[in-house]
Amino acid sequence: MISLLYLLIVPLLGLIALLVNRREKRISDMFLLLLVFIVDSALFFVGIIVGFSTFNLMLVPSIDFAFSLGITGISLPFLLLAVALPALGLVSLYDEIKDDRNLFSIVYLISYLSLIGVFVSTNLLSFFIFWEFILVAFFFVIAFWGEEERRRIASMKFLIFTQFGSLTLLAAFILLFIYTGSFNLITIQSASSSLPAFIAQVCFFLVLVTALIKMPIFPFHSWLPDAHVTAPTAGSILLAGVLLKMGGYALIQFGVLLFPSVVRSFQVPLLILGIFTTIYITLVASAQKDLKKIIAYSSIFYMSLAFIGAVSLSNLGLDGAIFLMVSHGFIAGMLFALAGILKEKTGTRLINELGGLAKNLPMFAFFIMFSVIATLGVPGLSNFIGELVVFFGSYQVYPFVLLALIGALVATFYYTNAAKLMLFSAQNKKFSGVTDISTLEMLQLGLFSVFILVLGILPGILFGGITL
Amino acid sequence: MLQLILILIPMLASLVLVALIDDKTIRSGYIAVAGALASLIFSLYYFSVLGGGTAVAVYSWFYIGSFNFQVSTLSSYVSVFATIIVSFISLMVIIFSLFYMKKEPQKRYYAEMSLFVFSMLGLVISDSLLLLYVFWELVGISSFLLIGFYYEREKAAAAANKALIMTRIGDMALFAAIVILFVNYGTLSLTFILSNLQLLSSGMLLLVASLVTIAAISKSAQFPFYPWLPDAMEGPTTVSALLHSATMVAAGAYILILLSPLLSSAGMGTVISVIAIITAFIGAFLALHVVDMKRILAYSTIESLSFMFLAIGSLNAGGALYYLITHAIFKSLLFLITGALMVFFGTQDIRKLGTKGLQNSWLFLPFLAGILSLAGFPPFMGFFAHLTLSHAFGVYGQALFVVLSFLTSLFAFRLLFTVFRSGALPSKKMYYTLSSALPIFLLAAITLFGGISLFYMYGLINASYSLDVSTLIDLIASFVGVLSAFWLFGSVNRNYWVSRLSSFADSLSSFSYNVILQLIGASVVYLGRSFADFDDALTSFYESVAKYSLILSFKSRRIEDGDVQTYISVMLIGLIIVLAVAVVFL
Repeated sequence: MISLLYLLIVPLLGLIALLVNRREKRISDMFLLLLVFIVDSALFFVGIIVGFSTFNLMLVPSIDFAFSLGITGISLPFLLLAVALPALGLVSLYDEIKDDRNLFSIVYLISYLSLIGVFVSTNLLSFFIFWEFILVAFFFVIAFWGEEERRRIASMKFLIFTQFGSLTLLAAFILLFIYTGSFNLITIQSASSSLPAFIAQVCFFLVLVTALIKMPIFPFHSWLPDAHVTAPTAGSILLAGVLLKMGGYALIQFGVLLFPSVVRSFQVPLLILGIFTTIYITLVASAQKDLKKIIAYSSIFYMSLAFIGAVSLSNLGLDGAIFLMVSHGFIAGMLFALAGILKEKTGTRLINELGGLAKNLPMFAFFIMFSVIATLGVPGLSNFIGELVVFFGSYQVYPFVLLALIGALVATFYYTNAAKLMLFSAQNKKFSGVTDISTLEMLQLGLFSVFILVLGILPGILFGGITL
Repeated sequence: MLQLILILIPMLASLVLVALIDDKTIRSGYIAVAGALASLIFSLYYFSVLGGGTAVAVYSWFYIGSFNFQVSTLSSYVSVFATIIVSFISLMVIIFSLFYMKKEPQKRYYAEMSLFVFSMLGLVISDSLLLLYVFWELVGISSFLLIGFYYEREKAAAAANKALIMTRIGDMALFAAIVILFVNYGTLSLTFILSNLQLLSSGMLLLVASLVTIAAISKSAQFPFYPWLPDAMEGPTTVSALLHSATMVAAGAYILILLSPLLSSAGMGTVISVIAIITAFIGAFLALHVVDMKRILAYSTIESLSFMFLAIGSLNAGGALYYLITHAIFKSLLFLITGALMVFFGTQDIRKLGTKGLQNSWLFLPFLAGILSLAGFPPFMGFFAHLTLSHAFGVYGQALFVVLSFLTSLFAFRLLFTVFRSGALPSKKMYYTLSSALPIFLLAAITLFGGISLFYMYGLINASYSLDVSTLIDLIASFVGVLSAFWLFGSVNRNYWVSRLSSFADSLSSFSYNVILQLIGASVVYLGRSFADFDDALTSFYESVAKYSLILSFKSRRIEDGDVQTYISVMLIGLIIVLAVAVVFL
């Protein structure tokens, strides 16, 4: 058995080493990060096989504030994202972050540690502390390393929106504490059904607001494209890959699983909101010219599909939602890594200014096509399974969810169009000197592809089978 | 139990090998040939050991909780004949590619072709709708990749996108049908669903049948989805021969053949027939109109596919299958010959080809065989295919079919008479190699002698045929078509009539369907633009809220300016107000 504490101690040691390194440089920061990621991933995969043991340390008994770690029914898939994606983003970090890489590595590692902490905390207060850590760390990622012009506004917008979402979540936690006398997730899970109906509704809506902001769902999504466009590539990978999934995790863990009866009574409006978002957001995405914006908006599309699956209250829908989020984490991460490479090579991400890149950059073109095909839900690659199971689960609840397929169609339209404008047709002479991706980038993109392929062909490894 | 999966493995291996092996050391083409050959041998082996009846092999793909997502393959005569024809045509086309694609990037081409053959073979052996959908999508994606093979050409890239988006509409319809069937049956096994159709309400049945039909007509380029197919001719000619005539576009007809019990109990037959007839006339007239040899064949393919749909609409699934097989052979033959001509003369314009004196060339007789088969003359395979089609039509169907036969042989022989004019000696450039001549001669020989197979096959695939007076009328119509084509386009050019005809076809095509498509595309773009504008407005709304709250905070900050006197005076004023209020109200 591997104690979950180890997963947190390893990055903590890494942090200390980075701080020591800051004063007097002994070893490369990149090497330290890599070491942390390798050791932690190794621990994680060993833990998957031999099992994880829980950890519990009571800090303030009077308010039931404990540092308790454990695996709940849904946390393992998310933990996979939290462990794997920052490691995959390392190459982008190495490529792109030039000023004060040491400080960035520290912030990056704090986010990494907190992400793991979020998904393994079983005490709501320690969960919330990790949750807040990430937001603050990410505020700095955008504000300090973001693109010059927009970073002030984008980082403030990110902070205000997500901080608001955090406050509603905290309010829900406090309400739960008042009525159950505990911050322990397991205690709350068993007590949630005996809450007064009104309190349950209030709690659910507070969590819902958090989820709508974090996932995000219309109309609370407008912080996301800005944050993405501004953030450095490594930040975007984490943002789309894991941070959005925290919203989905909160929705399922504290919303759907705690208050299924509330969800049931508001199910149709919630599903309609999800369906509306799928169509709305893909249409918005179809008008974008910046590759990062296209990817950002279509991230919202997949998150809203996951939202549909989650509020469908069916086992399949929930399983599909989780699978889709994990799958999309890898695909969006890959797409953002590619967008970063594109910007670095050509100096622009505006798709209509590019053209014919496939001639000089065949491997780059291959990976773009691979990730586009993956994101469109072609079988054999991971998104297909997620979409299929979400629809299987939600159709029986509300047949009109099939309307969300219109969104998938629009996504086909703008993704293939973007690929054509960037990669195909006549070569833009401006970019005839551009060289193909490096071996390191090839390794990064290759690893992304392996995850996408393996999840697509052997989806069984991710499905725990939730029962409501 | 037959393990049909074995048929797929060679192509998968070939895909992996071609992708991994450096192109400079080993010719990727030979790997692909070996893969297709192995698939063909396995298919023939399964055919030889196949006793009557059908067998389903079930594999479990993955579990969610206790729920098992199963996939299954079906071995029946229908699926095994389909694997034979797919792997045979693939083998022929890939051999021909050794000749045709010599100068192109080999690795990408053969990898994409292997992916396609793998997916197509998978599609025809699927029994579960889940597996069928998996391969259906993979076929679509490999078609998209292959149409865009010459990606530096603007037209090819645009055609690839057009094909993907138009067929994707059908894909989504099929996806929806699968979701509905899964929720109603809890399984996706076709054999199970088709034998328990009574479990669906009639409304549901109609919905599912319509969705499946939409999927099929989009894949098979029927009205209103047909425009993607002529554009798909931007791909290499070998790709057109394999995907966009013989196999991939026939996948739509194939799933309707599989699902024909569903269609008949939903009463979709008439709808499908009407769509097919509209498409057939459009295809035939446009084939008469265009001068690009590949596009003529593309429109002819659209027409032939609608013959299959006509058969499906008249609940004659066996006839549709037999026509599918026949069409695969003679159409890929015609495309391969077109490919050879393009290599030799660098053009696919039939007017330019007509000046080359091709009548004495080694390609003439194979081409003639293909054209005669297309027009349905005995003893060619097409004649027998027409026999299996026409007997199931009603009176109106028969009448329309006679007109269509006339039009078919008119455009077929227009092509023949224009390209293969008598006259000059054949050009010296027309050398033949093993890889170019073998597929063409083999396909031509099968076109000539293969018709006999009907008498062996019809029992196995549940087809029937009849020789009666309608056959004779049909033949006469075709023959009149030949004569008219000779009169119009033969050695003496009847400019007057040709111009009348082409002005009619012009008016048909100027009702340009592409305009409607562009309109739809433009409206989606407009919709996207206005939604994006709204989204920007939403963003600036949030930003202005933030701005005003910032201003408000600046204003209110003045209250806390650190001046103790102000604090005290404000507190005093507050206290007075509170007291005053208390006095007044209490």
